[in-house]
Amino acid sequence: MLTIILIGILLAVFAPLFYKIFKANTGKFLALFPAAGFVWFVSKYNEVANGSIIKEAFDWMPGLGVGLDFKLDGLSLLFAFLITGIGAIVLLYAGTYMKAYKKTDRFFVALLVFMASMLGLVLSDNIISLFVFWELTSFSSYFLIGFSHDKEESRDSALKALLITAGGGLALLAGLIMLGIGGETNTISELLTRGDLIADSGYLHLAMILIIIGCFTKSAQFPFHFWLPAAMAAPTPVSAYLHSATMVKAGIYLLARMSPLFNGTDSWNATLLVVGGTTMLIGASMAIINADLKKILAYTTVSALGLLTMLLGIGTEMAIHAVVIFILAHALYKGALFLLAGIIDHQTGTRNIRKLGKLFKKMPYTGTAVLIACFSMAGIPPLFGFISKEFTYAATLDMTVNSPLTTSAFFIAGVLFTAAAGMLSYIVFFGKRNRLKTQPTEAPFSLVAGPFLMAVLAVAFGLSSGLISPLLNQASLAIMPETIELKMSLWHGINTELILSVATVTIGFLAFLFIYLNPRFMASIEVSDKIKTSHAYDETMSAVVEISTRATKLIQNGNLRNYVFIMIAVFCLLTIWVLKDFSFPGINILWSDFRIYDIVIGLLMIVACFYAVMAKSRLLAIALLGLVGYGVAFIFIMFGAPDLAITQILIETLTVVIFVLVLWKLPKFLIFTEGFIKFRYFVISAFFGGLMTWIVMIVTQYPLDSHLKAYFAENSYLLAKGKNVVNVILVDFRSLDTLGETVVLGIAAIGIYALVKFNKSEKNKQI
Amino acid sequence: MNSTILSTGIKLLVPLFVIFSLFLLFRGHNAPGGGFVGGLVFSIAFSLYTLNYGVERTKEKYKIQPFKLIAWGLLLAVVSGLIPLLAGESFLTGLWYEDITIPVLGKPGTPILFDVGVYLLVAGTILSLIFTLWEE
Repeated sequence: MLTIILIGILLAVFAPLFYKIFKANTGKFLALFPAAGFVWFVSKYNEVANGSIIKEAFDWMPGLGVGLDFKLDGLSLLFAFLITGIGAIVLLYAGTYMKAYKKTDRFFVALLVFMASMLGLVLSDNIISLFVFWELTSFSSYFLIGFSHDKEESRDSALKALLITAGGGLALLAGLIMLGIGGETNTISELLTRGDLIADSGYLHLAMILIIIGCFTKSAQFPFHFWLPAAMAAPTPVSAYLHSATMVKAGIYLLARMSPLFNGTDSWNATLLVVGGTTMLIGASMAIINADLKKILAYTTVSALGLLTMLLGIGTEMAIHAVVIFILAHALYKGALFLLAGIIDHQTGTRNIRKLGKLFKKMPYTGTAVLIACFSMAGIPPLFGFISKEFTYAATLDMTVNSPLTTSAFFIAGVLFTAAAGMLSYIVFFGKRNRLKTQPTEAPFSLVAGPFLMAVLAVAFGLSSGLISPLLNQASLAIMPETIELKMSLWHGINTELILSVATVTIGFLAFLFIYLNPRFMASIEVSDKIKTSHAYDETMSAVVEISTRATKLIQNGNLRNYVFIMIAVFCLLTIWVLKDFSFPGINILWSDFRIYDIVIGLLMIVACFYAVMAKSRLLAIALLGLVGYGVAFIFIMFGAPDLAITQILIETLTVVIFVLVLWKLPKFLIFTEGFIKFRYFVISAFFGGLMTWIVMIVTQYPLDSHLKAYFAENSYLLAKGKNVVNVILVDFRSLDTLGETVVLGIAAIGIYALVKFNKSEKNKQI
Repeated sequence: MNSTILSTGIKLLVPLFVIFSLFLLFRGHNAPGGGFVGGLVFSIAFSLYTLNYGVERTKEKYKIQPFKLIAWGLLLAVVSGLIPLLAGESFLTGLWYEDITIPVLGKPGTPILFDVGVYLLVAGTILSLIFTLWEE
């Protein structure tokens, strides 16, 4: 399993290269990867369906209990099928769809990174590796939503999604770590069996809340739901893949994964039930007051995620069965619908349902696929969505408390789903009006094939649900270890579920007719544009910006000397605070220790310092400071530190060169400071100098030999094959530090470039 | 800034500086020197050239792109860390090819690669700084 993930990451790295070779066919080529993954997972199907669990383990940081542990059970396999299967379809589709975009190679990079990390997420059996993959999906989602980065809307939406999901990710990290501490292991499958141990540690409740927050942000639950509709700024293949079929279900996945641990805790079930139910109703009602195809789909997705959360909150056997069935049903019909909406947009140039109509004759294949998918969404037999709806009704009716309330909530959502399905299919393909300027044609095979296949699967699974039931059975066993076997069929006889189901569809259709036949309603359908769902978010963001602007203006007013003054003053105060317990050591300098050149260089440096302070020209002052620096280098040489000396000399030289470049632009002579300010600088300098002298005196009181020094001296040649200890420490013993420092250097270079190049309008404000 | 002595001299000195910087880089493991110092010397050569002839001519003549140097430097340093992973060691563990000893360099191994990365990165950083400030 690690191999598949690594191949995905590697392909992502080389995607730009492949793009150069394959050009427009890159999507088709890259689709081989998820397709191969899909085949591999299929080969494991029988094993998993029979109840065995496949495990792999790799050490990552064994000392910290962090490993790349993977586990393939029913739930993981269900998600792995969705990720690889829909992934292959989406890559095929994107190859054609993305032709209109620029820099498509970057798109493939981000999509492959996402694919690999999403696989890692659902296969991980270690809390830390799970978290790493979790965050990777957030990052790749950020790049994909903001793909059209020249549009402000895209950038805003991307940032919104990142802040919400990555913020929730931090809560999740804290929660997972608490579980790890409480359960004394980082392996998820072991943690799930150690509920009592975690409860004893007292972390169980807090960890549960934090994990719920993490999952709710990721799966767009109320009140975090607003990022998902905004994320529709992404290209359509991304919306289909990340924001309906896979990534947004990561939260649901984790809730399901953690269910054996938390299910049965009252606050867990109550929170999931209430929040899920609320999200479901909000999403469904927002869906039918939108006119944008993608927005309608986005809100129904929010609603579907709410339904999944609600079912997990119900937490009974029936509910868990309904969860796994609906995950599959939803991924099939919603993924297909997104891709089909993309086709409509691609062929007609608009996604506004008020402009679309009478398309069926022109786009028969697309139309058929949309109809099938919408039937599945509305829950009409013999589609898979129907079975899913039956199970959900069974779950809500089965509840011991609050059954009428939950059932009616789902009934309302179901009605709205049916109405939304009607708007998506009937208005677009059979609607009377068609306000398009040009007449569209059917989309090419590579676009229609994928969603058509998904629609066909929705029929196939509906007609012969036995095809998929062993897998779904294992998946529900992973969520709830002791469940009865899951059996699906289209016909259960006439019972309450069936009656409710028929009523839902009928009333849903009537609701759709009411919306469609009422011209005023159709005209005012875009009201949702005026509803700001993310008001609190916008307020918070602008407050953050406002406060930082004020703080920056206060602290960084552009006077460089002030900066230096503050830095040194703070340093002095902190040092005094640390050293307050030390007394002044006695001075015992032996004058005979001094060599003549020590004294000469010392005197030279003192004189240079003095003139540097008195100098009336910047250039002179800098040259004199350079002299001081070279003096220090000489001292290094005399005390046997040639490496330091070389570096010091080079740095001094470069400093002078850089200063000269900067000074070029400044006036040659000026009166630096006067009166009190001059006095202030004098005091702080004298104080700083005195402090440093004191530190040196304290340090020399203690013996200088440490065991590290001896270790490095001894082992530098034995272990690291180098005679120059300084260099060996830099590039071998402490090379991770060096790597960090070099990264900082590189970032500083980019920062300076940005400061100088992009700030031209403001450069006159600087001194 | 036009000084005849510097502008004539620097043309001859640039190759010497570069060779010297490489020398410093490769002897670093056994004697004073190393990637950081080597990178500084390398960048000083072109800084002095820039002071005389400007950024345009320097870039044109020597085909230097500081940000590419930074990127390659980082890449080499990271790759030198990743190689031990393939051998089953942890990130950045030094590996050597024991059989041969090269004069000046010593035994070839991943730390040298790392040092080359540092060399390129330091050179790139300083040169990007100089070029940016000069163009301003």
